[in-house]
Formats: sequence, structure tokens, C-alpha cells
Amino acid sequence: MRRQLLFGLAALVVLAVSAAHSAHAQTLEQPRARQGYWIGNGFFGVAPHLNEEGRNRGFYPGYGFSFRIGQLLTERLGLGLQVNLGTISKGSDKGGLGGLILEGSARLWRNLSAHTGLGIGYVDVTDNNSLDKTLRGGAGSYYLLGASYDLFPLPKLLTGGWALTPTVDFLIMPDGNIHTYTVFAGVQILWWSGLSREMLILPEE
Amino acid sequence: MTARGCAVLAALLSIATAGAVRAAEEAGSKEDKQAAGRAGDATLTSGTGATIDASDLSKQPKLTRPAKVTYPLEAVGKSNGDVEVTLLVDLDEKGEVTGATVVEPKTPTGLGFEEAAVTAAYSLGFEPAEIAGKPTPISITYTFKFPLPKPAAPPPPPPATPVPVAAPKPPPVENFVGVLRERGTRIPMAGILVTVYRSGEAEPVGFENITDAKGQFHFFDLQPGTWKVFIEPPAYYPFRTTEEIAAGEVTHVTYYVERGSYNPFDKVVTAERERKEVSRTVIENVVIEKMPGAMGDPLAVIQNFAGVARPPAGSGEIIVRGSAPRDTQFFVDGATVPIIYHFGGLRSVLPTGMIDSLEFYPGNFSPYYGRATGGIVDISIKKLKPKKAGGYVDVNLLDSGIYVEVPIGDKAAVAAAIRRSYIDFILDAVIPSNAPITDLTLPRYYDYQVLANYRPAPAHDLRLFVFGSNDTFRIVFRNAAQIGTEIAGNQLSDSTTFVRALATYRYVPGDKFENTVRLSQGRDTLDFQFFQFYEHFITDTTHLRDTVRYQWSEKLALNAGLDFVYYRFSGSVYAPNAPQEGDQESTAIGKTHQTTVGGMNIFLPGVFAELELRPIKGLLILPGLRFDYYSDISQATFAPRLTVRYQLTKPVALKGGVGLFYQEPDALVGQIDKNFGNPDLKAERAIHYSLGVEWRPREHIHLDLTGFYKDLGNWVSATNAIRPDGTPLRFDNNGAGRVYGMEVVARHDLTTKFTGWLAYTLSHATRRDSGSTSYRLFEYDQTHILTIFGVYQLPRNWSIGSRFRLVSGDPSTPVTGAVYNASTGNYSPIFGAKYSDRLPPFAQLDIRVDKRWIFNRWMLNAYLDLQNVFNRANPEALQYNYDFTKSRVREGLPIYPILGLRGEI
Repeated sequence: MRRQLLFGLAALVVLAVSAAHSAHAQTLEQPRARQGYWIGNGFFGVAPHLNEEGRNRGFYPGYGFSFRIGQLLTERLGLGLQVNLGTISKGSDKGGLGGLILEGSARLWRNLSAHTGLGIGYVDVTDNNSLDKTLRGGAGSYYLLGASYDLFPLPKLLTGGWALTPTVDFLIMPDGNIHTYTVFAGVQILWWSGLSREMLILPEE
Repeated sequence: MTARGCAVLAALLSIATAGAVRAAEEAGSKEDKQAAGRAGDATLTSGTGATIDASDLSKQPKLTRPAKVTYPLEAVGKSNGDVEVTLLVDLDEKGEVTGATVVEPKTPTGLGFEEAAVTAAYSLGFEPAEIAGKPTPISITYTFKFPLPKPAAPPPPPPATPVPVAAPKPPPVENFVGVLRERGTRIPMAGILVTVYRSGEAEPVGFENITDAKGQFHFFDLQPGTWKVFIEPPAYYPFRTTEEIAAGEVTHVTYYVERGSYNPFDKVVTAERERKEVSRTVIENVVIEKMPGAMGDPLAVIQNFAGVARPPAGSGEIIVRGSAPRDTQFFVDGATVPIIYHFGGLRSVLPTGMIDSLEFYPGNFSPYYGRATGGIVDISIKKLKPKKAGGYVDVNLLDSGIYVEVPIGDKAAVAAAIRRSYIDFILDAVIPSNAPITDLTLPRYYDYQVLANYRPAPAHDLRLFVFGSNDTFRIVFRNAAQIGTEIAGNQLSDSTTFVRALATYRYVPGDKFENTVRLSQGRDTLDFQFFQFYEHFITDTTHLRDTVRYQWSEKLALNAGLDFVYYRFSGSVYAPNAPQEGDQESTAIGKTHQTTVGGMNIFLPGVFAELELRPIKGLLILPGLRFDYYSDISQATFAPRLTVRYQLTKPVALKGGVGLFYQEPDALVGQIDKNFGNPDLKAERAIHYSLGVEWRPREHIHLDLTGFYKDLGNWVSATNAIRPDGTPLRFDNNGAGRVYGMEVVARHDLTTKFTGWLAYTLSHATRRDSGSTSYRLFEYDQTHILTIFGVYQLPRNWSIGSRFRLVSGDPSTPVTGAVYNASTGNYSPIFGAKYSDRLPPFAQLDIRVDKRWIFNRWMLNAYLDLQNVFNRANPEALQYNYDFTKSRVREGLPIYPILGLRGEI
């Protein structure tokens, strides 16, 4: 419980700080690439470390997929949702993990941003060599801490654009029969919508 | 600041009717005319249209410094007669003008009247308006009159020399017309400057026009070609576009301008009614909608107030200051309602669209309310004043609903709503076809409401509210014998239906007298079948309330009225005795009874009176008395009550109250039925004591510390006593109870960005059963109840809210052993001392995020409500194995997300 509280409170603090800092930002903005809504998919290598009912099961490598959508509230801070799904295996054990996460992000330097979030996740594992092939695992709270960098390889638009985003996410699910500590490392393809002309500081025509 | 500026400041009020404050300025005259509206004449509204009654103003703004206007020179000869321009003028708490916007401009515009009026408005001065004696920012309508200048004496005639006559100038031709509307809401934007210009020629050319009350603007004689359009209202994003003006054609456009923030908190007027009660919590509709964990349900929000215990999961019960759920009464605009929840707490029967606010009194409530010994929840129905036809469609995990409201002229409006659940569709899809049931009506509910508002004159307000609901559930098993040996029959069903029509007439002829009459009529139908047991009841209810208020002077006012309820009750029941508070859980079905009632009439007449005395400044004394008669138990009760408040300093108030409260025995569980209970029972009695202090260190911050004590007497309690004729007494009035505790509330009122509170209750609730000399814990006694809630408005139309609850576990009765019953093959538990143990504490964090997307003609709201974020296994009850040798805690709901969508037009 204490560990859950720590994870949750850390995520909440970041969300609250995001909220507090973005409270007064209702002004026009200079056009930028990272602006407006983001939406995109990511493809990841997944390395979850499983602990099943107190027994250390080691890493279960696999691959994963994510869907992210959100919006920048200010030049630096954003809020959004992330859904991630992964397939994992080790020996005769095969399974999956994933979750729905409420995500807050903060731009740290240039296009480098950190994100944190909390939500609901699941993990399941089946031993294909066993006779009954019982599904083990469970669902519970899901915590996220990660970082990403947006690269804009295509010709620059006035605002928004396509981004290639290397991402590393560290996800923790401390509930259920199987506790997991998972690293998602991969690349996302994001579309930044940009802002409408009314919300931008534009040169006099 | 302009009127649109007001839109982002919830604290600003405005008098929307021109009759509220009107002044005519005579050019060259020192005579100022002002006719402040009577209380009740005017309507106060925020910048975006939310309204309160003008009678809530304790003092109208008064003109102290008039301003002069002069007829614009450019208008001379182009306008005939006197001209009036009405402005919306923003006043701060000092009465100084902080903004002015044209509401009703001179038509056609562009002759300089509007500009002159706006300029002159900043020279006006007022004594500030007051609410509850406190100066408050406000907006008023103010009309400047421009008298036509008298023609000057004709100059001497020039020498008679022939002058060539110029050709008459052709009349201006309107060739660019538009309407300016707020994006999403479609509300016309009045008094906004629209600029058209083009700069490709030798000299830039530009024209300006101000939108009228309908948001329309007009340009004349624009040269054909491309024109740039620029609109920049305060608090809105600037609007830029280009238009092609063709020769000989009129260009018509509609522009939608996006507000900087579509913050629902803007619409709330923060003016609050004077506090008279020791404890009262008012919560507004917009906060109800944003509360994490409540799913937009008004009654779920009450569970987060100080003094309210956490109910068992899924029950939705309201447990107030150590009182049983039935001890708290629910009203809709003062009228009784039979049920307030669908399916035991799933959803309340009124959608938030119909609700204005709800008021909660945990104790020491006024004599206006009676027949309750716990608390009072009164839901205020919306005061319909829509500016346009609109509504919403709401889709969420449990149900979908639609709400529509339509203005009918300036004086009337109608709203309607309907909602239906779809749990039945979901369960129907997942229940296997080979399940052991032959007929299935899965749980479903629906409710509907129609509201009509008519205000023929400022002094008269008529409302009609028709609402109802139905909950139905039915299962017919193939083979009921598999379920248990003590049951027969194969049907399990429950259906509750009610309909109410509530008519309200409020008459406020002046600031001294006010009368409100409410008449409600309705029918409740209950059909319950549990295998061989059943309950079938039909109840017709008539409720009449007439409340009069007369203000003799500033120091004396009287509130008095009639509160009459009539029930006609028919039905039959066959069931075992219903469990009472404090009964131990049992696996065996007790002795059964059957009773039939045919057309039983129950009259509950009540009258009440309360004086408001203000003998010295800051002191408010409210002595009151309530008389009730209960025809079913043939008893009359007199309930004197007293509340005192003393405003020690401007931010600090002391308060206290003592009073008697009565309620009938619980007829619903048969306490006064001759077969199930004891028809000789009398009313239960409670004495409420409370004492507290309020501190308001900032305008929006309240700190409240209240101690309370409740003495419960004549309490209905189960008994094993036997009557002289040998029949069991079953119940008597020899029970008693004591509740004492303390409530601490720190609340940040609703402002444009944030609202929230911390509520902590420390309490100890006990009961003494009939025949016992010692007190035991009350079933829902919770020593510590902490709730922290906050919701914050973010940019880009996001909001985030969170609720944390930490509550002591409920009392539980330990099982010390078990006895094997050879005839049934089951073990029966042996209980220890009643409620001598306690479940582990409850803790839960909920988070909710809302996002609103703005389209030209509508808005879409989406929310994610993440409940029990830490996935804590909260205890709800103890479960035992077959022989009661092992137990485990039955856990509440795990972490779960709820998604919802609402489209608004």
C-alpha cells in the first residue's frame, strides 16, 4: 500500500504542478511544431520484470504497441490518454500486458519531454506446457514515468506537423498476483495538430 | 472591462432587465432620474447568463454621480428626434465603472451615439450594490438619452446670388451584413466592434460597426473587392477573415468567435444567500457535474459533506450525524418524493440538467422542514431562463439521456428530459442461453421530467414540474428448489414506479411580502416478489405547502406556513419481519406474516412559524415552532427550535442551535402494522444541539468548526415483550440513542478556476435497545470521516478533479461459534457482543478529467473518471465459511474507469 501511495502521489503531484503552472496561460502563442493536439501510435520493445506471488520470475521480453492522444495546455504542459498493449513470453510462458493511462507531460528542453501518469492495467501469463493452461495474473493500478523527444523530419509547417518520437516509458503495476516493472522502449509516430490561426501570434498582413 | 469581460468573472452580476436601474440624462440639465427596480422586479445574471433573483440584493446600486452626453455633431441632420443607447455597465464593489458595452445601440449605427455613451459611462458613479450587506461587483443596464439639439437661430440671409444646386446624394446601400455568435453556444454577441479594411490601395480604407443586441452588424457602400474583417472581443480569440464584396450584391455572413475558455464555473453566481442555519451546505450544478467518483450524480455528492458517513458500497444511502438513512428526508423543491435513487443508489432519479443546486442540512434545520430527525436534502429545480433553444445528449457507462430547453417569448420556457439505463442490454448479451431461468427482465430504469416556467410579471412566478421514474427487475427460475430449501415459488422481481406533478406559484409584490404555494400530486407503485414472499402497494400522495414571509422591519421578519401531506395507501404483503437496525445477520427466514390494506388514509397536517429577530447589529435570533399531527399513530407533536448567529467580527461568526424533531415510526417495514409491528407506537423524538464558529479569512475561503450532540428518545426498538393478551409486542418506544461529534470544514468557494473542500467529522453514535441499560455502537458509527475534494479548471477547456476519502470501518458483530442444525444441515452462528468489533478503515482516491471541444454550433464534453486509483481492497463486510470457523473481508470495488460523453447545443 505504501508503495502504491508513493507512486500515485508522485503522479498526482506532477499533474497538480502541471495544472497550477498552466492556470494562467490563456494567451496567444507563437507558432511552433509542438502545438495543439497530439495523436499517434508507437511500436515498442517491451521488457517487463514479473514478480508472481512473491517469487521473482525475471524478465519476459516482448513487443508492444501504444496509442496516445492529448493536448498541450500551455507551451510546456500537456494532458492526454495513453493505451498500451504488449505481448510477452519466457520459455513456455506466454502472455500479455497493457493498460489505460491518464498522462501528463512536461517539456523539459527543446522537444524533450517527460511524462507521468496513472491508470488501470493488466498482466496475464499462461504456461503452455502445463496441463490446465491456467491464466495467471490480474489487473490493478498502473503507473507511468517516461521521456520522449519529438523529431520533425518533414518540411516545417507554420504550426504542428508529423513527428518521429523516440520514447522510453517505465511502467509499474504493483497490484494483483503478478507485479510488473516494465520498460517500453521504441518509437512513436505522432501528429501534432497545431493551433488555429486565431490562437497564434501572426505577423500583420 | 466589457460585458464579455464579465463572462470570465463569476463574481460579476448584472441586472438584465432594463427596468432594474434606468437613468435618463438630460443634456444641459442637472436633473438625474433614477428608478431603482423593486426587489423581485429585476433579474440578476452573470456575464454569460446565469441568473439569480434581484431580491437577493440587499441593496440596489444608486446613482451618485451622473454623466452628461451631447448629441454627436456627425449625427445632426442624420437622425430624427431623441436617441437612446442602452449600455451594460460593470460596477466594482466600490460602485466605480469598470466597463461598458452597448446593449441596444442606435439604429443605424455609426453616427457616434454609442461611442459617446460608452465614453460618458466611465464618468458615472454609484453607491455599490450589496448582497447580504456586503458590497459586490455587479453589472447594470443604463440608458443614456440624447435629446435632439434645438436648432440655432437662423443666420442672416446671404446676399441673393445664384448658387449652383448640387445633385442629391444617393441613400447608403447596405452590402455587407453579418451576425456574430459565440462559438459553441451560438449566443449572439452584442456590442462588439467589427472592423473591415483593405490596404492594397494608395491609402488604407477601413470602417467600423458595433453589433446590435442580436449580434448583427451592417456596412454600407463598401467598394467591390476583397475586404479583411477583424474582430477582437475581450476574453475571446481574435477573429480574422476576408470577404469578397461583389458589385450590386449583399454579402451575408455568420461568424462564430471562440471564447478563451468555456469554463462552466463562469456561469455560476457566487452571491450566496444569507446564512441563517447552524450548518448548511449548498452545492451548485456545475460542481456536481465535475465531482470525481460521483458520475455527475447530485446525491452521490452529498456523501462527501461533513457529517455524512460513508454508506455501504452500492447502497447510496445518506447517513447523517449518526442517524439511520430513513431519518433523513429528501425534497424536490420542497415536495416529498418516494424514492430518490434508482436501484439502491445507482443513480438519482433527477438528471443534473434539471437541477439548479442542492441544499443539505445535517441538523438543527428550520421548522420549514419536519417529520425527520436526521438531516434534510432539498434539491432546487432549475429556474428556466434560456436565451435560445438548447440542450444536451449524455452517454455514459450506465445510461443515456437527453435534455432540451426552449424559450417561449420573454416570459416562459419549457424543458424536458428523459433517461434510460442499458444495464439490461449488456447483461442480456453476457448471460448464457442455457442459464437456469425461463424469463428474464434484467435491471433497467428510466426517468423523465417536464418543466415549464412562466413569469407573466416580475412579481409572479409560475412553475409546473412533472417527473417520474421506473425501476424494474425480474427473474423466473427453471428450478427454484436448487436455490434453497426454505423457499418456494420461482420468481424474483422488483418494480418501483412513481410520478409526481408539482405546481409552484411564487408571488413577490414587494420587498416586504412574499408567498410561495406548492402543490404536488402523485402515485407510487411498488411490486416486490421474492419467491413465495411479496409486497404490492399503491400510494397516492398529495402534498400542499404554503409559505409566507413578511418583513416588518429590518429587525423583524416572520416566516410561516402550512405543510400538509395526505397519503392513500392500498396493498398487501406476505413476508417475514424485516430486519431492524442492530439485528444480527441470520441465515434462517424468520416467522412470516400477511396483511392487506385497502384504501387507508393517512393525514399529516403541519404548520410552522419562525421569527427572524435582529435586535442588535450582527445578531440574528431565529425562534421557531412546528406543529405536526400524524393520523396513523394519532399523535400531535410540538417542536420548538432556536437558532442564533452572531457576527463577532467581519470574518468571524458564532452560531448555535437547539431544537426538537419528530418522525413517525417506519411504516415501510411494518413497524406500525398490527401483524408485523405494533400499532400503538408513537413518534420518535430527537433533540439537536449544535455550537460552532465560522471564520472567513478570505472572500472565497470558509473555515467552519461545529460541535453537535443529538439525544434520541422514544426510539422504536425491537422487543421480546408480550402483550397482556399473549401476543408479541414486537416493537416499543423504549429505545434511545446518543450521537455527539465535531465537524471541521475548510472550503474554497467556487471561483472561476477552483473549488474544493476538506471535510472532517469526528463522531460517536450509540443506541440503547429496548430492555437494555447499556448503549452499543450504532450500525453505521464511523469515528473518523475525512473527505478532501477539489476541481480545477485548466486552459484549453480541460478540468481535473480529485477526491480522497479516509473513513473508519463500520462496526461489526463478531461470531464466537456456531451450532449445527441437523434438520436443515446448516450451521447457525453464535454472535458476540453487538457491534463490538470494527472493520478495517476505508481509503479511496478518485480522479476525474474533463475535456470540452468547441464546434461552431455545439460542444462535446468527454470525461474519464478513474475510481479507486490505488486499487485498494476496501472492506465492506465480513464473510464466513460454512461452519463460521473462518472469515475474510468482502472487498469493495477495485480500480475502474468510467468514460462519458455529453454533446451540448
